[in-house]
Amino acid sequence: MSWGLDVLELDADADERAIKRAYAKRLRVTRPDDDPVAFQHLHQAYQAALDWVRAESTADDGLDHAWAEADGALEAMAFSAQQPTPGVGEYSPPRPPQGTPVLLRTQPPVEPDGGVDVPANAQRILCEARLSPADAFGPWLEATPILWSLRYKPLVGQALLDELVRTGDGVCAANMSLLVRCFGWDDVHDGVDPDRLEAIRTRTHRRWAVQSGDPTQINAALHREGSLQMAQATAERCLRYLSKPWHAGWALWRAVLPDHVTDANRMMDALEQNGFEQLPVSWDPRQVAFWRNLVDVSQINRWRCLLGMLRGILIGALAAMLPLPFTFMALLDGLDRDMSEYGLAAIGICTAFALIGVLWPLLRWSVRQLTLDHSHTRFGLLLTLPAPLMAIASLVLIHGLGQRVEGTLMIFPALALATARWWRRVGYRIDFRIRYAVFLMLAMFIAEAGAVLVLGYWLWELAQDRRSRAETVRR
Amino acid sequence: MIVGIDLGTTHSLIGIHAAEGPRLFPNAHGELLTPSVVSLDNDTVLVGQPARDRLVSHPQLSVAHFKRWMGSDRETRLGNRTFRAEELSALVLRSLLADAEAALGHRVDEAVISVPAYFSDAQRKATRIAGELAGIRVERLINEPTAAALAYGLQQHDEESRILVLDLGGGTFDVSVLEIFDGVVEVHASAGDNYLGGEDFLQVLMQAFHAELGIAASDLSAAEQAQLLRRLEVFKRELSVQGQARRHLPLAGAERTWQLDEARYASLCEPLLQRMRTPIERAIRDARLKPDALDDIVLVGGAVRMPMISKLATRIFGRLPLRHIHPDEAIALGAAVAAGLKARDESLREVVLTDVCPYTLGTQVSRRDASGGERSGYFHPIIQRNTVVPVSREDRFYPLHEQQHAVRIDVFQGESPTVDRNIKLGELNVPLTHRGPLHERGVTTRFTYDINGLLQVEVTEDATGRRHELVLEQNPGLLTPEEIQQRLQALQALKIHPRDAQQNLAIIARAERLYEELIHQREPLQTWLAQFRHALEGQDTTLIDRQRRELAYALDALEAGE
Repeated sequence: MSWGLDVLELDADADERAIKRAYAKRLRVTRPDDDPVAFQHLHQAYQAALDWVRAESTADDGLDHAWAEADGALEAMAFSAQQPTPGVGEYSPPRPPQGTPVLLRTQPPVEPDGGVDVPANAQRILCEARLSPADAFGPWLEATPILWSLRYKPLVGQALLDELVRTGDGVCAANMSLLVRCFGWDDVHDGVDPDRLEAIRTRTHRRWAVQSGDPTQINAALHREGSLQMAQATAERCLRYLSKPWHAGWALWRAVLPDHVTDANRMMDALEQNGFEQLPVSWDPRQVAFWRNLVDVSQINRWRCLLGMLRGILIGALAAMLPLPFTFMALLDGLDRDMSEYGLAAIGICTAFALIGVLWPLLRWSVRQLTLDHSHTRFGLLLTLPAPLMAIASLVLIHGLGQRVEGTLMIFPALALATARWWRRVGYRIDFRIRYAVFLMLAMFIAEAGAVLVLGYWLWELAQDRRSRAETVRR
Repeated sequence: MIVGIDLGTTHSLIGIHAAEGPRLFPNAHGELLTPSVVSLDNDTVLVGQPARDRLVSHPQLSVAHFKRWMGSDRETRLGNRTFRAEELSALVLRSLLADAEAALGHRVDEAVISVPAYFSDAQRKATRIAGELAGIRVERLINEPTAAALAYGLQQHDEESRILVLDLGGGTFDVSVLEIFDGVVEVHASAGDNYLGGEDFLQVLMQAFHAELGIAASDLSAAEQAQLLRRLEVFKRELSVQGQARRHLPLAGAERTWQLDEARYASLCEPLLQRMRTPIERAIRDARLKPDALDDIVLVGGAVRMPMISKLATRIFGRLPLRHIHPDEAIALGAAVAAGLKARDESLREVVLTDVCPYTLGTQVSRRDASGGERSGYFHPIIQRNTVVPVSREDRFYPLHEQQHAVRIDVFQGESPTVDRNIKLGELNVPLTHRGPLHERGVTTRFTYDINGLLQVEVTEDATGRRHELVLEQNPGLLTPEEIQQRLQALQALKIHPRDAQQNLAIIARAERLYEELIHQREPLQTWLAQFRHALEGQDTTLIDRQRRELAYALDALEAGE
């Protein structure tokens, strides 16, 4: 029972007609120009009563039956315009263009008797928006029959918007503007929020530019809103890198400077190129994968290790060149120094750095792994072996070769790795318990204890992993 | 006694609501329609058909279609004076009022004027100022499609009906969805385009003519252009009635024959017809009505005589539109009924009219975006479009920063979610006297839009209860009260011919126009004109009347022969 009905002094079984009559009766007394406040109250009551009655009754889903009549009516209205034959010396306009204009076509509407397939129509329009140029899309949109239906146009518009948001398909800015104007998405009353609309516009335009593959277009699209804080030259460089056909050596060489890697990734983030679907035509997927994986700490592949090695060698070479001036001066001073020593030292430094370069990503990655399930990488379980191997090696050193000191030294990195993995497993919490600390200290001094600890932990992790994998399979 | 006036782009009418129904007044030439054209003849003003003829003979001293400039600062030069659109409209109003006063026998001091439903606030105020400059009080404005619906609804005797009114006038296009039941005329939604009218369709014809003959508009003098335009109007009418037209049209002294059929014309006007779809869709959507719930589609306005308009309506709605009310007079009749309603006529006791505000009113707000920065320029609506008037709504706003001393409430009108595409109506600076956390320093803004279309803004500081008011009387682009007084003085200095002299002026103007147009018939025209002017000097009324009639026959013969 609505409060509106109370104000209009009607019963609960009043229909629309009765409500209107009651409203009209009261309106003659409470006119809008006499008493604005009372009128507003009356009108709100009337609206409330109507809404209530309409909600109560079931909605009648009528179809546009009038369409069939309209075609007949148009036939009747069409007059036969005879084209008079132009005489000699008279000026007559050129023949009408090919293809009758939109409004004179009396083609039947798309709607079959059962209803209209709104998503299919939306798909069709989206396809056309993606592919056709702006000057052709406008007229096509104006001529589309489904959009002439007052009933279905809003539904198609909504479906189209949902589709755009879901797939993030590329549509050029001009076509997007046409769509916005056609469906009224920039309306304050029932349109889309302006920030969201702007985000959708930018995204679709960028995708379109990316799919076209043209670097100038992509550059223009990225800098259109100025949201990408990157110099023009840098952006062009990144696009050049990404468009090059895949060549391992070239890619590795280009990736030496970490800046290049971060820039390339920022560019791909700006283009929302998160996966490998809908890549621009000119981009090689392997190239994209290479640059992406370089910043992905949850992945490991040979390129990262090779890159680490390359970087290490270069840094080592640089480091080795540092004492060069001193060596020269020493030589000049006449000190008897062997250049070969220097050469060996240099090579040694380079190798050391190269090793660090290879080991560093490996260690970082292995610490980050929570499970031992590495079936997706080529090396699999091998990469988790350093810790137990070192433990075994230390045991061998101590008991086999009698080198206690070296053995104990060997156990330290193994323990460090195991502790790091354990710490990561508990979520980097510092849960300081005395007995763990004591145990750790003991393990550091007594290499056997440490080895046992590391091996035990590794086996325990293996078992955990097996169990969780079995559970996932069962599920 | 309140009169109702239809101040149209091409024609204007005046009427009153009598006991038996609305009634329109004829002008000095016996016509109900007075062309909205103003011409200057030394210090004397001519309005109506004579001025329209003078568009051809004295194009620098005549002006038409100034309704499009209402609400803007645009001025036009006639002779050595400049006129704004309000002044020109005021001159037209004076002429209409003279006709009404002659018929009624007493002075008229109040009028209800019709405006396009989609006229902005500035344009409406300009219309009121035009009334003020004409010496009458204009308190209420009525929307043109509503007026047409009033005229239509009073003829109907059905229980209830839902109608859609498409009003295509000379310069504006309006759509309104209305419901008529038990004497109540209720507007559900209005939408429109202020720059789409019959004149644009005529321009298409003009451009087609130019294009096919390979000339540019600048190749013709002003007189030639006016002449061409006049001929093209006749051409257009023939096109609408007969489906094709073929005429001799003047071009740089020579005459060319041009023919066109309706189908080709419709294809040329395709962009304009496509533009008409948007307001129709919006009005239906805002009225929350299913298209098949409409009982009638009513077409009003002079330009709906073109078959392509009916075709468009049929294409969109799937049914034939109605046109049995006189498209030229419907709005004036409705305005007369509205005048009667305002005057509380006894015969209209059963009729009540409720209208809506056709545009959204709101204020500017700032938002914080994801990265914490602030961005301004968002439009926050307070009164949604198509709400029933009178309406009063309020909303609460808070300052963005702790250090703010005041908030600025900007008043905007429009449909875009960002304010840069909306129209600013005014602003109000509200000092925040209460010091405290942000959530305690809110202000409540109340927008009240009354039935006469005046917006009142009231801002209350929540913590202290202090009120600030802003009544939006003044706009940029409109005249201040002092300026209005000045212009009033200037206008009163202009002379207007007495009504009895109008017919003589008309015939002279017509002869002068034909003199301009028919180059080969100038000799006889010159003689007749001199004869008639001589007779006028004599001031013998019977002689003048006879001479005028003879001259009229002669001119008719001339025009028929072309």
